[in-house]
Amino acid sequence: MQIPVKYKVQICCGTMCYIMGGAELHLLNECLPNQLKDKVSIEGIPCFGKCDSNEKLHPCVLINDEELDNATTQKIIKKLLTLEDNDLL
Amino acid sequence: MHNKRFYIEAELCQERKAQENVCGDSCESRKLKEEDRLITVLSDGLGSGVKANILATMTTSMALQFTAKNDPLEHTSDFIMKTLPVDSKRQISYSTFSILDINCEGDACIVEFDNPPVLIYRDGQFIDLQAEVKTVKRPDSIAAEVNYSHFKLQKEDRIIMVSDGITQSGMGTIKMPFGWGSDGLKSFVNENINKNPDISARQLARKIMQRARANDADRFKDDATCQVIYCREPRKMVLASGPPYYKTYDAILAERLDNFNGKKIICGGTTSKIISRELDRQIHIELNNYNPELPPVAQMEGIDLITEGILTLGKVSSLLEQLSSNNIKGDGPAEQMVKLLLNSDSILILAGTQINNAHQDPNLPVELEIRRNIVKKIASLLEDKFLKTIEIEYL
Repeated sequence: MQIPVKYKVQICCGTMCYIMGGAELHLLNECLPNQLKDKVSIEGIPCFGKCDSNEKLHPCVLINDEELDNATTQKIIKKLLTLEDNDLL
Repeated sequence: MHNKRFYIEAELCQERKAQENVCGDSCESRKLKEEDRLITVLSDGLGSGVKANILATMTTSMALQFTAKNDPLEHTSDFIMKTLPVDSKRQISYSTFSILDINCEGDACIVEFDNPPVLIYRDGQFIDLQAEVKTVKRPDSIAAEVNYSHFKLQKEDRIIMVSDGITQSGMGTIKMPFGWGSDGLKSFVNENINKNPDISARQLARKIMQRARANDADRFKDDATCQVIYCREPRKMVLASGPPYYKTYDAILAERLDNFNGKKIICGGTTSKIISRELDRQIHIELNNYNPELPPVAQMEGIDLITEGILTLGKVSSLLEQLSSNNIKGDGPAEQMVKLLLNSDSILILAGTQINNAHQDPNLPVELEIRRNIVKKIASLLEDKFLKTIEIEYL
């Protein structure tokens, strides 16, 4: 039986996010821990406009439509694991 | 080059003699935009290597300049012969040339000196030109015969100019002891056009070159140059990059893009979002093609290529600058765009002028150019180096 995808990760592919470290996020799939591998869908989205503000927020990622600023691979995995833990409770 | 009735595609393919570092042939084309005129000069320098390259380059540039200034042929060839340095071994100053001059009316004028004859292909056959022979004085007092011919170009005509490295390829082999020859070349061209009537000048030049190389068993015995000119219905393309300055133009931009008849490229994240919003079509980005250099390409219904903006444009511009052969390696977003650009004849660039404030931060790790500058640079490269017709509209 296939496990339905629980978490949707959307990575901003805009210029700013990309040069501020978003490039390495595109390899997220390879870094996911085993328990998350089949539960996460990863896709790219065009810039969703966070770079217009003066705060330094890039790179930006949406996890289940919730924003995660200054994202790194670790931060995303941590967030996903927290979500997973909460769901298991 | 744009003519009122047809577009003229000019493409060059060049290979050097085996073991030489530079090509001893030279071929240059110049588009005179104001006069709507195209001049192409092909020259083969005496010998091979650097010396031949210098002779040939001098000849082409002089011939190009003189022809562009409408100087009489006698003066041109006289000047060329007198200027070229004398070869120390052979005691002659010498190089061959073919000059092709096409004006805005489609009148073509061909001047040939010692090169293999220029071939003109029309409706399945080659036209024999009535050449007028003129004698030109040379410093060593050997009279040189220069062929002079005129004809009127028609749509779907092809002109093939080659250096003797092509026609003499395969010389000495059992299969073709006297080389491929003009006849061999003719039947090869005929065959290829029959097989693929829409073959572009670029493809045909490459095919001829590949075949000549095969004739010489993969090692050219002489420098080989092949210039193909094709009068055709222009292949059109539109490139939209950057959001319009006024938001009200968003809809107009999307509509123009959608109704355009030809290839379509969107370059820029915000721009693609605007188009997606206005046309109500989803953008889909594949992340499985990881390339650390540039952000990935996206897909949208009805659009041929969607890329990120300023980084990709920067890469495209440097690729176009470095490109010396018409052979593009790689399949990254920028390479895909270069391929599309080179496979079009007339390109409309819709450049949005809105500035992305986030890009103006001096603390950024990468230098980001202003779109307008980079678009201008790409346009002038495509125009001067690749002879495309470019139109830029700022929105």
